[in-house]
Amino acid sequence: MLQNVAVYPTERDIFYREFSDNCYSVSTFLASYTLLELPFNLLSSLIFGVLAAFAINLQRSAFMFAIATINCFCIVSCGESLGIVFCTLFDEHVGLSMHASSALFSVGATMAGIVTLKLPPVLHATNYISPFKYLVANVAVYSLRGRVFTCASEQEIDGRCPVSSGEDVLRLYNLDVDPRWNLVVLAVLAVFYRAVAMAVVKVSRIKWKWRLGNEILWGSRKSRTLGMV
Amino acid sequence: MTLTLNEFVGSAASPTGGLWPCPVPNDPMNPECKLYTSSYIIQTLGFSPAWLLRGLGISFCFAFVFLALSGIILAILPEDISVSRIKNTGDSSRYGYGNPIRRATRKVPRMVLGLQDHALEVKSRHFFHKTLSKIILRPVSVSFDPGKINVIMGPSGSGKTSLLRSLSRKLRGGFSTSYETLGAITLNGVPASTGMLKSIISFVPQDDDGLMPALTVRETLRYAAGIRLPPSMSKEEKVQRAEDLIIQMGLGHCADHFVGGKSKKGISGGEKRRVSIAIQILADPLVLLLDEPTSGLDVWTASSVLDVLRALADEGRTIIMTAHQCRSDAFEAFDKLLLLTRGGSIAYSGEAQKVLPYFGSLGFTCGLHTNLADFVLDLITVDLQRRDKEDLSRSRVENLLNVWENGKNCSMVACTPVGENHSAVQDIQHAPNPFLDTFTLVLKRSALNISRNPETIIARTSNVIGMTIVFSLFFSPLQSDAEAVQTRMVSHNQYLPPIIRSLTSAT
Repeated sequence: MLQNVAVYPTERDIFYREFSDNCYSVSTFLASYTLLELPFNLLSSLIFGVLAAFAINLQRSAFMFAIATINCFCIVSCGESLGIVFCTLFDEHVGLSMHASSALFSVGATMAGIVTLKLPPVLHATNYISPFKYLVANVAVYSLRGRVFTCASEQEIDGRCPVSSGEDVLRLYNLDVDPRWNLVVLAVLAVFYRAVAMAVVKVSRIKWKWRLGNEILWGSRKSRTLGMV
Repeated sequence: MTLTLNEFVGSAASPTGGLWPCPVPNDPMNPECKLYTSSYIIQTLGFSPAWLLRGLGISFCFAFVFLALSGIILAILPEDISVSRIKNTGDSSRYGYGNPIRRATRKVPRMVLGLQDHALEVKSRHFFHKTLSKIILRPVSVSFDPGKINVIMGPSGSGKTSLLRSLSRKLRGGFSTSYETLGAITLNGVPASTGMLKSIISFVPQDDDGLMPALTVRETLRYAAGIRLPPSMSKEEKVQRAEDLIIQMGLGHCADHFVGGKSKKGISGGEKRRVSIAIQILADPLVLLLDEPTSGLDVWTASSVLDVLRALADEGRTIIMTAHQCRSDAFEAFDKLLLLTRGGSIAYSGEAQKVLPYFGSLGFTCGLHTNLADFVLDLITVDLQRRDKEDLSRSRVENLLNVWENGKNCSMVACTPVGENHSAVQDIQHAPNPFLDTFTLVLKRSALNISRNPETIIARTSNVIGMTIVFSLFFSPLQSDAEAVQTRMVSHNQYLPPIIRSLTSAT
């Protein structure tokens, strides 16, 4: 884990320096960062897809492989975006940003719909921007639809298993929904998160301009104030 | 497991365990309700009630074992720093050992940077208190001359770095602090706008973090030239400029060595500092600001950096640097000196070599075996270590400040005659390079840096792959019986690790 800490902050520090020298813009930096991240992300997602679909047997089909890959790709991209956000907010404290984001992820994963089924209204509302929710809602449906479950005789109730089909499980978890839209929303969220990351980096770099605006707005008390631009 | 057992069975288990709200009449013995009894739930989970305390004990042991294990690993594992490969040995004989090449032919417009009542104030906002403001630099009026090495000295906390950052317009507040600058900055006597300052001033920060470890010196400078030089220059001109600088900065012998970073040794600290300076020199600034360019370097490398600065000053540039501590011989290389005390007041400003006579005239003489810089710094520093000494040194410093304040004469301050043509100062802020050009350069540079760093590649992929393999071994293949319902659902949660790995690689 220690060597992973080397990727974003070093690139970021170089960027901050060159940005302050007016070399290029936030979008140039993040576009190049994103483009360089893609192949790594794609590679690991493909491996994940193979293992999830065929080894773990979510469903042994090329379709499931594609679904697993896309999901992994989106979720990793969201994570990377959040990492960028936290690294920007706590730019001096790598440890703090790691803890803050992993805490956030744990909460998001818990609320995803498998560990916790009913949420208080506030958490339920925030869950709409959580990629985990959409992830579970499409992967679970794709992998469970049409699956038949068996059970031992002592577990049977009235001569049949309490849970006998994938649809039963989905109903049990309140997940019997249309998976397609959830997948689409997840992809949109991945793009949205990256856009948010870019916005955060941008805002963090132009803070002082805003402050200058504030100064003009409230009138400067000093006779001659050289702004911060 | 312990938690689950505690939840569903409790310590005193009834034959059926507890009963959870059952839709049909609430009777534990009703077969309809079998699904809702604790014992059924525990049974489907495959847990045994005997594990209630056992599980607790084992988790407890695990905590200790892991703690001990990490201690042992920490004690045994040696820390090793790999030496980066030398790409190919540069022709060191050709350029000598890192001596800067002086080219007296080249001259740049001379620029006197003046400060008029320049003061700096930092404001920190608190949620519950009102805004606190602290003056870090009292109104200063000085001028920094072209063709000379102007040095700002002072103990830590005297506002040296803040002054430099303010000159380069790079003071940035945080979430709760903001800086306010007062007074004016003049160029050759004319008040300067931010755009003007930015176009002629370059700032070299104290640390060399802005360098990519896996690039060679030549590559670093070429990419920097591509990114920083204006679009009006052709690609060949930019490359030529980078090559010129390599020779000018005395980097010829290590031009093809990797820069190196924290865990990977590359070129030396002095060479790194010179690369940082070279990057800032690329755009041909008239004024160069350096924050502690010599600190942290040994004598030889420090003097090589000073040689570079001297060569740049000889071209007519205005060099302004801060120094915290330096050797006597380095001190002799300084032309002008600005002494700041803690709290940002001027104790001396003028010719560096006249500082001793000045203090001598006030009754403070420097011993033969005392370091000049140390002597001067000690004079203006309040000794906080002992009570009696503190009072003594405080009154001495205040005295010195008063003497300077009263004896302030025009000859050294703000009234330096300006012999140069004013028209030299223009707002020459050039248009930024087109997006696509810089984008490809930035992309290529990062790609090169990453591709030479196997650790990064491993770091970026191994976490997802490793986690996937572990999970595959754990879950696969998923069965289709009642126990598998739980496993199968939880397996969806395995998407959690990938996101955490992405976080670690991002941080």
